[in-house]
Amino acid sequence: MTESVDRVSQKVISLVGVTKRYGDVTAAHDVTFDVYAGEFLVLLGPSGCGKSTLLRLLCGLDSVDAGRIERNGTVLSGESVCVPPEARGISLVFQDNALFPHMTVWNNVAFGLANQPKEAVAERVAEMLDLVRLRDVATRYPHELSGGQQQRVALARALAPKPSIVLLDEPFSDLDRSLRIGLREEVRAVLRSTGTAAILVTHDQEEALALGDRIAVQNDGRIEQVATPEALFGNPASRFVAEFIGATDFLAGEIASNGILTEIGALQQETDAPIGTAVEVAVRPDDVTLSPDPAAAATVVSRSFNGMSNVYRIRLPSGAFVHSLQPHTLSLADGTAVRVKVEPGHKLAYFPNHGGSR
Amino acid sequence: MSARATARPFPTARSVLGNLLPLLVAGLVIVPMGLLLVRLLHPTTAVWIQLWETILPLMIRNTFLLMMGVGVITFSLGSGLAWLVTVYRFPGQRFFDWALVLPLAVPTYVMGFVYMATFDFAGPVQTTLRAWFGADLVFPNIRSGTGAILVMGLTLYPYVYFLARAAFREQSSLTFDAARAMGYSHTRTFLKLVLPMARPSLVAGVTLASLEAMTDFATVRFFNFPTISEGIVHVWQGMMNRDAAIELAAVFLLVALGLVMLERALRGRSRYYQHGARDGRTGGRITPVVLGGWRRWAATGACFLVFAAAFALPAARLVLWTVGDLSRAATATALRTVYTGYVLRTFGLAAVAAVVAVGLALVLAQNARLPEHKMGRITARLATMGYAVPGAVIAAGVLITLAGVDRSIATAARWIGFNSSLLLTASIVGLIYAYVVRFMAVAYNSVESSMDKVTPQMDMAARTLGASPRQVLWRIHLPMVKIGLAAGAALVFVDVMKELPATILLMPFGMETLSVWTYMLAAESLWESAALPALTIVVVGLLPVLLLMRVGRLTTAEGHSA
Amino acid sequence: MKIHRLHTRSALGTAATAVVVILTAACGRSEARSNIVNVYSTRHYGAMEPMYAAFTEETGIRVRVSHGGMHALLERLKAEGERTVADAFFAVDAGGLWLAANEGLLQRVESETINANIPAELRDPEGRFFALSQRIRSIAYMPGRVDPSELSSYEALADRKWRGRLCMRPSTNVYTQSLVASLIAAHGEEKAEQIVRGWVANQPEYIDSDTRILQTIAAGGCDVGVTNHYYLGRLIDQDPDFPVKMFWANQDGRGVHRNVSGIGVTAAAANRQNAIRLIEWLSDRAGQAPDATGLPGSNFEFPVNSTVDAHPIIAGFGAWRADPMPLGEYGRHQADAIQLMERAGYR
Repeated sequence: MTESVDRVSQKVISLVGVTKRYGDVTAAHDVTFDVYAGEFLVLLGPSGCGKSTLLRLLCGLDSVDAGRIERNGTVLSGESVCVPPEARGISLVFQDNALFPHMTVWNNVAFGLANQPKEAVAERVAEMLDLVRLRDVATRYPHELSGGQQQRVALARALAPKPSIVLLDEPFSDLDRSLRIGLREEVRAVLRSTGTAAILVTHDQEEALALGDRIAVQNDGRIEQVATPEALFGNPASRFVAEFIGATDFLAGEIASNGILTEIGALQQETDAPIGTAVEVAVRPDDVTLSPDPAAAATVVSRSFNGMSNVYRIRLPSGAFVHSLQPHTLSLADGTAVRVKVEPGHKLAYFPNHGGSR
Repeated sequence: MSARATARPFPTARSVLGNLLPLLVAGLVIVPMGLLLVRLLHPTTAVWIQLWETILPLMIRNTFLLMMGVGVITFSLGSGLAWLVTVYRFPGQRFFDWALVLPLAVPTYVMGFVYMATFDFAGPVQTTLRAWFGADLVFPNIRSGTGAILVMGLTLYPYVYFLARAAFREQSSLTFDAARAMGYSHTRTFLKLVLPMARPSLVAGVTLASLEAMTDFATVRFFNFPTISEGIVHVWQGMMNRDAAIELAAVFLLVALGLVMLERALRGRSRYYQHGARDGRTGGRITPVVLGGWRRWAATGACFLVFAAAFALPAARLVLWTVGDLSRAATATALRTVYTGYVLRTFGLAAVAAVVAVGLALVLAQNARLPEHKMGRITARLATMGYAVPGAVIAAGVLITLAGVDRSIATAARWIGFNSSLLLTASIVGLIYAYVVRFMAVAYNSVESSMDKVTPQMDMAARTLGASPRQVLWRIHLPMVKIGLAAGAALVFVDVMKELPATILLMPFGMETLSVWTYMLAAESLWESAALPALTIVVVGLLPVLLLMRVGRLTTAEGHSA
Repeated sequence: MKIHRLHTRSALGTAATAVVVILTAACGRSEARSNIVNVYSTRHYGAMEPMYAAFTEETGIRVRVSHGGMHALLERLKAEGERTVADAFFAVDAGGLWLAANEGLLQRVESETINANIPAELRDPEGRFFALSQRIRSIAYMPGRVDPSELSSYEALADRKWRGRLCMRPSTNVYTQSLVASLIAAHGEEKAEQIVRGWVANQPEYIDSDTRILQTIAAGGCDVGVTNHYYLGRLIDQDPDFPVKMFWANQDGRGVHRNVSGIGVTAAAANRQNAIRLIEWLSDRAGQAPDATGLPGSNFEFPVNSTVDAHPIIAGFGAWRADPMPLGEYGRHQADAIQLMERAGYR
């Protein structure tokens, strides 16, 4: 856990057993997690997994079918309760930024400060615009700004009323890659400096790992795991998480007395399953070593060169594929026979094999 | 995250009122039409036989010929001229680009009487020609179907021109260049590629023009070319058989609705494909071609000819007549006493109708905007079908509806001991009702297209920033759509000002409008006197046309910066 | 913190309220109107205003006029029934007056002044409507191309010698309807249809304007036409050299086709006395003046009050003898006339 979470381990938002159905589709299924003060939580999942539904439920744009949402211990959504969005103290930043086109940047930021005295509004807006370094475009209209600037205005607007939490709905996915990385660092810095908790919704695992204090992985309406990026990467709680995070291959294996037996050798690690259980081991490219060996049965299928490294795709005798990360200095032609070993130096995650997986 | 999920409405918007109100609005429009159709269940057979054996076949034939003729002329002029000004550069191109829309401000019946007065046997053109070439000169008779079709085609082509011009501008230069690279000539590219791609706009424009021609009863009367619209008025007033007129109106209503569906079918899926084309537009506009030699002057000449015939000539004629009429002291005094009254009445009526129509359109659009509300869009479609229904038909429906309401009110009033003298039928309520039914689509389209810019995300952002639904309406929706509302109101205003058949039939006590004034004088060939009210209509009508062009320009400008 | 329930007042309610307010305001009724007479008039604006103004000045009764097509106004009167605001119905065609009377929309009026001003044949025998001016629909011709001796009657226009030389008003026009109705009254339907078919066989040019018919005759577009006399009066007033002449038809037989403009008091008149005052005034010497201040004079029509002269321009058309047929005949046969013209192919 990061420092900020340790500092104030106070729950800002709690979801307890939140469930929402649209017709036959269960968009949120028994969702439970907390967000702590100042924390940056990433809600990660593939398209259609129910992330947006959770956002709508959090904002009060939809009511829950079961479970409850609490803010600082007060129920926001629950059975027969649904505090309207305007009274929740939860702000939203959208992918398409949703700035009000008929208002200047200044007025956009001031929108959420409607009931405050003029001087206070002016002070707060100026503060926010300074925060996102947009003071000089305050009198412009949104369509006169670049995409990145628009998104920073949207963030300033969301932060202005001092919400207890900001929800960011794929805010970077419409931007160019170069802009995206710079902007997301900046957004995170701004949030950290204000100490505002945030939930970022994304389908981009790289973004999630780079930004999240913790990551909640959602699939098919359920939360599969909530953990720090490192824990998520190292100890995926489900095959889905393992597959979704880090280019994971799965090797068929069997529990043995001192580890797991696979077609490329035995893995020495503690197991808690009965001997003989069929499992799949999650293997990442950095766990796999290889060396050219004309006698070996595995062959290089393809190579993808990333500058600093090579990633080799290798066909094993059984027909299964694994990937191996190698320094850029090791260059092997396609078709080279290689000896493959798994030498992780740490425990590998494994999951029961229900057959069919290669 | 699917679009469907993000676009879900607030639970809070699902209030009973919010759902019921649009239905009530649609009901306002549907009830008169429904009552009309119910009349069909009990046809007055004898009258139908008489009609069928005498004038009805002629009227059906004429209506068909008129709509086809106007369709062909407006299509050719509209798309041809739009192509010229969009793709080619020639002297005067920048002027004609907007000036060719101006005939939209001239009502067909004004154009009709100006042409009649100018080109018929006793008119100045034929008189002059006879003076030059002798009395035996044969000139085609303008008082005919051909005359009516030509005049209406000239007046109504801007519907096609305006939409075609916008469609051509939206088209990507890439497609165009690709076709040129494959060896297509400009003309061939136009016929094979540009026209088919602009089909939805062209079909919409031609349909609008044909529907306008179908609605008209005054022009065809001037030209001795009885159509069904004219026939309804004829049967109603001439044969004193309102029931038969209502039945005729009901049948006509069926035909009109059929046409609308046909148009939908013709336009069909390609509507979306065009939207897609706009969104995914790459490359700039089609690079203009500078014409040289005789071609440039031919292009200028063609544009000038149409502009002169469709706008400059009638406008000049109206101005001269007005000056002539005002120069006679007696008329000038008489006019001074009545003119202001006519203008104030007309503007008042038009303003009230515009505000009501836009208000109701806002209700419909608010409802239809939420993607979940399929009913909302169906409701809106039903509530806006009046644009396809001739004014006389709407007047008939509104009259029987309000007469029924009046009877109920009178009965109810008697029950509680009052003698009700509330007379919806003879009040401006009936007239405004008819206007709103007729022009709801005009208001709705403006409101809806401006509402498109308000994304559901903006609502959500505003709500989470502390705005209540009412505040969202006042602080986000209204400011964002106000230009659309204003444009819609302006368009309805002008349409009401021009409207004739419903006004004549439902005009309350002392509420004659400029259009009625114009028609009555023109029907008596008192053209000089008719010129002033006609000119007033044209001048006021120009304002929203120019506004339309400005908005059009803004839209394209935004498209560029985005 | 306040906990809100799942509901809200829809903002749409505001719009609805506004609409209702506007509609309610729009249908507010006018106040009691004792100093007013409301007239439904098929007569065009302008011509009548000076007379109404003079009437108001003399009597203090304000005249409010609603213009409209005859049939539209009749429908209106019928639909409104007892609740109508109209006190008087003014029509420029005897047929329309008769139709209104026949529908029970007009009431009987007994006034010695009116009876003294207007001769009996120009009043409804039952006192329901009164002519205020006389208009003669007859044959206009171009001297030089037509010798008056060639002309005789409406019926004779069916003669083949007029083929391609006629200008006629379409059947939608009430003057044409009344003329054909008079043919039916005079000859019976069969003979009348024969005559109309004769006209149709001569392929007339249909022009929906008497003025334009006269101008077309002057320009050489046709040689004869059937028009109301006062249109020629107007044209001669504007241009004393206007060449077209008026021929009084059927002077050797039943007489020329006379139509009238006239007025009746509505059955439900709230201001009955005011309406009667108006009729008395309009039929008296002031209202009947031969110049622009009088109802007939302002429009080059012949007065109904025999103590008043006609406007000099139309007096110059010569003396005429009218068909003594009761005015009600035009209305009685109007529907038949329309159907007859449709059958005969008259536009």
